[in-house]
Amino acid sequence: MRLLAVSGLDVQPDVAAGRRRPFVRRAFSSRSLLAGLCIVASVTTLAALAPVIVRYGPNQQNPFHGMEGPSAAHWLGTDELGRDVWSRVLYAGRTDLVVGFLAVLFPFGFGTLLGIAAGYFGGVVETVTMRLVDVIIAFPFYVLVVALVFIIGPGIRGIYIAIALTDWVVYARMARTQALVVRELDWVTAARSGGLSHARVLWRHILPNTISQAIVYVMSDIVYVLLAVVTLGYLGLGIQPPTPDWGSMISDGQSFLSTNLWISTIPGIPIVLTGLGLSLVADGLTDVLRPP
Amino acid sequence: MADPLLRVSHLKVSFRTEDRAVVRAVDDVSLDVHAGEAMGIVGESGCGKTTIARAIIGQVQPDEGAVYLDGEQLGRTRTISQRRTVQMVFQDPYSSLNPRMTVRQTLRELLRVHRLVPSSQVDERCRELLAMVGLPERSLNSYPSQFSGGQRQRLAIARALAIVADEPVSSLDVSVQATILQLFAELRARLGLTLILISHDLAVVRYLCDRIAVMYLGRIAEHGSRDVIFDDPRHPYTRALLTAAPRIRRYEPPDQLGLRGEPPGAVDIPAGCRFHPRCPIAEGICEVEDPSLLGLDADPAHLSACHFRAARIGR
Amino acid sequence: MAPALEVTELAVEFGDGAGRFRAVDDVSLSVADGGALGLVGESGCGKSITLRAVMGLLPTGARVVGGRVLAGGTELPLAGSGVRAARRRRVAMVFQDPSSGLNPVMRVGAQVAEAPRSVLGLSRRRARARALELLAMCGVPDPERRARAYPHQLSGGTRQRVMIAIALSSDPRILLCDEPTTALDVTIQAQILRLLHDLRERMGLAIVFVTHSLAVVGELCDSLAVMYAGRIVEIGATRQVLDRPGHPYTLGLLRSAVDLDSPVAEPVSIPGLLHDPLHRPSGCPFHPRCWLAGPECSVTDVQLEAIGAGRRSACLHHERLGEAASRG
Repeated sequence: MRLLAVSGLDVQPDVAAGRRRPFVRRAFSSRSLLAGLCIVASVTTLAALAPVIVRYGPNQQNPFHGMEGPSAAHWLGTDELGRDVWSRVLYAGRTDLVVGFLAVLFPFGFGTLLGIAAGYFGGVVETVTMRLVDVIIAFPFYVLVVALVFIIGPGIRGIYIAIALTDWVVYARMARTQALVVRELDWVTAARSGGLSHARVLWRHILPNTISQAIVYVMSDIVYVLLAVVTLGYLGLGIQPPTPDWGSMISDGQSFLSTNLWISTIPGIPIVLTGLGLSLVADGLTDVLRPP
Repeated sequence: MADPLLRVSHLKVSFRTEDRAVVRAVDDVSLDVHAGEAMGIVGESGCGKTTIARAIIGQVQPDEGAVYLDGEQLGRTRTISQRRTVQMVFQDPYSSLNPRMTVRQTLRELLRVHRLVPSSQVDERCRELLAMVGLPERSLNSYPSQFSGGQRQRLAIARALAIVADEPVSSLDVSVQATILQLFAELRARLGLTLILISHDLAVVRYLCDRIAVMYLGRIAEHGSRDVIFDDPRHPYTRALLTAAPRIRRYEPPDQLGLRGEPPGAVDIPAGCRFHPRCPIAEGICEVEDPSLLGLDADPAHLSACHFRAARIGR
Repeated sequence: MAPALEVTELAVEFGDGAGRFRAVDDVSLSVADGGALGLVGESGCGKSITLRAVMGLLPTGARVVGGRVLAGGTELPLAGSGVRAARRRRVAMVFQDPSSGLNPVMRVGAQVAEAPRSVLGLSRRRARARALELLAMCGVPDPERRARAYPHQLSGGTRQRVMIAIALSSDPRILLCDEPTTALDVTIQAQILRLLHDLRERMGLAIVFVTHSLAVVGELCDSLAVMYAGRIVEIGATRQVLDRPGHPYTLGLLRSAVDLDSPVAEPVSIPGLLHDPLHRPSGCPFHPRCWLAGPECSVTDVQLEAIGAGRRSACLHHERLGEAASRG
């Protein structure tokens, strides 16, 4: 009562197997990954420890010591209201970094799942999803985000919503392409014909093999989102005062560029460092996330 | 005669290519496979043999015709018991296994779905399956990339057996040294497994199969028992395949292949007999009348789709 | 007269430091004009690398560390800037995969005409005519029309014929073939083998043919070299090697092959797997898998020795092999 269909028995000579290094060893052997993680960890740790490390509060004004350059008391100087720049930079990091990291989560999750479904099921799901993606992706990202925040209303809530509505499309497109490829592979056919449900196949067989590209992209996406937050802050649409924010710091210090350029330029440094760190992590992850 | 275990009845499967052309991959194919036998389907690229296999396991749906398993027609979705009756081992060992799952995970997943074994015995069953294909127990914790191509093929067989071989056969312990062919012969003998082997390699098919169907451009050209196909072919394409297959002691490539030119794309199937433009013995009738697959007078079980099937054409 | 191709003690290394190993180890062979030598062995035996070293097309990471190659008596440099130039008009190569061996955006006729124009210096018109001649010689039907086609418009068999035509277009004396028929259907393969056979006879072309199939090499080549782990373990006239193998590995290959002419018997696989290239067994590299192996096999660095007229084998126990008991 049993039947086996065997397709193409190639009685070919055998090729030797590869060797597998455990995940942890691989992770630690990637220099990019380690370097990137160090940089990102340093920036986030400094921001996280802000209340403990700084001497002055971020909003502590000291009008008599305004516009001072770096000194022993104020490591990065003070801004026009006498607030300690070092403190403000770190505290701004607490807000900006959190928003940057969290805001990508919904687009990543939603976009990837929708994209995989589109690629796997095809038909109406695919058509509707991809046309929607086409429409949204036609607009430049920052333009769309700024416009949405303007409509929804400035502030953190607006930022989260705007990013959620616009950022998922890249993930969807990526995931769909990958899913299209993976669903044709023999092991997926074997799983389906073995009796596994669509849900099970999607979760266990398609998703793990399509998600690595998205994970790597998340790293660059955090940078994009961070820049969007900073841009919004610069435009006054982002995180509202008195909460410190790198973008508004840059904007505030603009008028003093010729005399006290550190006020505007210093907030740029953690942004660049975070971006660099995440980029290295992305590089390292590409290697580490390959199948065992 | 008992009902066949598998019956393919007037199967037609076609695809659309990018430029809207229709490819008739399988064009009216009928086959019976009886329990316990080994059927070989041979042909070159584009003949439709892989499509038939996919139709049998349900990966593609036929445009016309049907596949019957144990008398039941197989529909769009399959029941669990239907799935338990037929499984496929895929050609490319490098894409037949999920690279991110260990062997144990792959096998357990299927055993669970089919609930063939109580969960306490799942691991034991996995070990038995590996023994059946000649792989050591420690393979369970490994990933596919840690195996050679041949070993991966065995893993794919073990996976299929997990579903299809539902009774434990504890004494079936295939030696690691056995070739894949010996493995299949052993599985047939001990498990009573019915086999459909789809291949382009005539030598392999000759070793394993009882009956053979030769396909060309979506149709069966010739069909019969192994001995008659190899010793007394009655279709010029079969003879061409036999002549073309390289032999260790022939010491010279065949001079008269018994066919000219190249196969036309499956999009432009010739009128009349589809083989006639390449056929060395084609006559006028071959250009106009498409020969049916009919049995020989002397041996009705030996079928050929050639107008001149009655004449011996030698090897 | 010098042989068409002569390779002496060729050695190719990969990797560095602890990861260094020889993919080709002391390989010597020669082919006369009009002769055909088959290089057989399993994946990883070094047959393809040997061919590529001769052609000067080694992949990055590989380097020649010893040996000489002579074509028609002239030495060919194995590395450095003069590699390509030295091979023009002497050696050409045909690859396995016709779908990646051809330029997809160039018409086929133009590709065949390239070498006659640049290497042989023919005018455009004469190069075109030569291209059509070559396509016809390689059995491409309707060459005029096919020459105007792009590779993707042609079938696999035709593409392989085009690749052969391109190889012949620079007028070489030696044709190196790296598994050119492995990806082809069996009837097309037979046609291509016949083509190569005829080209040998008509043009006196010397051929080196790499494959893992004993049957294919048996049909095309008059002499045969069996390779294992980077070395030649047996070399001699094809008929002799296949009828009375002089090395247990050859016998193992014969016994594990399924062939249409032999009675239906069980193929017997060679036990074990090829060793990791970084952990070469001591003595004879095949000894861990060999049923004839004795204690001396793991300590002696076995060399190719003459075992008959024009036959050599690297086995200490070759007399015990007897007739090829390939079918039980």
